[in-house]
Amino acid sequence: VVAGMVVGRKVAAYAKTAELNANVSLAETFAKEQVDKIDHLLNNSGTENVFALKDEIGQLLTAHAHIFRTGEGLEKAVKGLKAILGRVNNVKVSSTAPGMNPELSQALRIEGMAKQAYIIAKGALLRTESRGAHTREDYPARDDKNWLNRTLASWPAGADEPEFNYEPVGPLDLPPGDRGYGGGQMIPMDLSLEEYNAKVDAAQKALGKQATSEPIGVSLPKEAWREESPYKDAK
Amino acid sequence: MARKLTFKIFRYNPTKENDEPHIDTFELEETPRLNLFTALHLIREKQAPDLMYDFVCRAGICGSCAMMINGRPTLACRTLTSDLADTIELYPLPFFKLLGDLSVDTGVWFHDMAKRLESWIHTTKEFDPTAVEERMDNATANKIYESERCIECGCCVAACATAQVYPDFLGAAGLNRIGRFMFDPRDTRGEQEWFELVSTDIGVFGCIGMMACDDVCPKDLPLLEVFSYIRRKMNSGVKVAVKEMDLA
Repeated sequence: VVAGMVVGRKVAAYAKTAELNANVSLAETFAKEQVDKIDHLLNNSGTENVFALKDEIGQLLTAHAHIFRTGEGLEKAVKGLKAILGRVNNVKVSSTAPGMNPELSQALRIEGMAKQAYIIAKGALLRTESRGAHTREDYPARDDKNWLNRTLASWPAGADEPEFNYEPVGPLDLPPGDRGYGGGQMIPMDLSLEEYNAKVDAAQKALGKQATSEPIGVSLPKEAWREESPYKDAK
Repeated sequence: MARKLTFKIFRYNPTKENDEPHIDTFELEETPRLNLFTALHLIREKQAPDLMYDFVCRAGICGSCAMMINGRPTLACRTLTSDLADTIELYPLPFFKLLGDLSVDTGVWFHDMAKRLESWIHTTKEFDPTAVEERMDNATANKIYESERCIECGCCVAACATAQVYPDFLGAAGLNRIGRFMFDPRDTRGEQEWFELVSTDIGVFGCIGMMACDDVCPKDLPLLEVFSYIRRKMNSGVKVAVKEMDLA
């Protein structure tokens, strides 16, 4: 919604100069991968039922990665999900009729779902603090000293484990303070605001943040939000 | 003790060789606050993995899960089994193209309807993306919004006697769409243009006023009011047309 106007203009400008001569070999490679995957799901000799597997993922996350969680519980979830990940290749789709196949479409997604669930549980286990609605009962404080960052998880092709990286949350206008509710505890950040903000850009770029052609808010009329803004009655 | 529910579900896969339309029966133990969305999922997960039906939002917003529930078109996700008898009959919506079992293609019809009605603001004013939006008074905005709440589920068309007889009939969804643009002061189409668009027997005068659409609309759109408005507008359109033909 927000990016549409920016993106639309860029796409239109690009389309004017571009030629309709795309290289589709990359798309073909990935399409082939999916075709092979469907073939495997329909024709292997596996024994796993995709709906039962999905249910197990849900049960594990509900039991151990809910609003209130502990390291002990999350470890159980991580272990359980790891075991499930080992079983997703053993899924066999029982209905093979042509046309819309809800079991097959579920089966195509199950590996990604299991990986995502694993990332959720593992990421929560690594994050030794309570933040927002995610309450670690064994780490009740919000830890701005060590965890004022965003988790960036990725799963390299073929790897057994995802990679976890952390980037600063972005330039701050104010130092995060006590929210004043819920009896929350906090460990304040040990950097000054200036020190924190100074390293944001480089740290985010190091983790793959792309340059933007139009930073957020740059085309907004200045001070448009003020009651006495001259823009208020602009035609 | 929990009730045992019996589902009689229409089954037919048009892409499967030698498949014949038939009814399959499934049994399910009722749980508290069970809705048909969950019930169908349980049936699919435990009994019939190839059962076809559509769901996206589970919250009465997307309009995908409209089906005939005990003979009435409505949204499955907003139907609690506790409001139904022990035996529940499910059929796909009539009128639309059947994709399989309970799944129909409403998209093609709605897209075609939108094209026929030129369902966009007609204006000669050039759009200036940097200008402040034009203001609209609240009553007008609310009126447009009431019609715009349509989620395109197709229940109204499935319930419509005229639509079953005249496949080109615009249906309540189409008439409601016209109303939405008639209300809109930004649309510059005049009475004559509206008249040519909808004063036919596949438009507003095809409606024979049984108002089943109004009865079944899951979003409680003010269809009755919208149709009355369009008919009144059309009457004044007739006057314009007659005057132009110099018959008055």
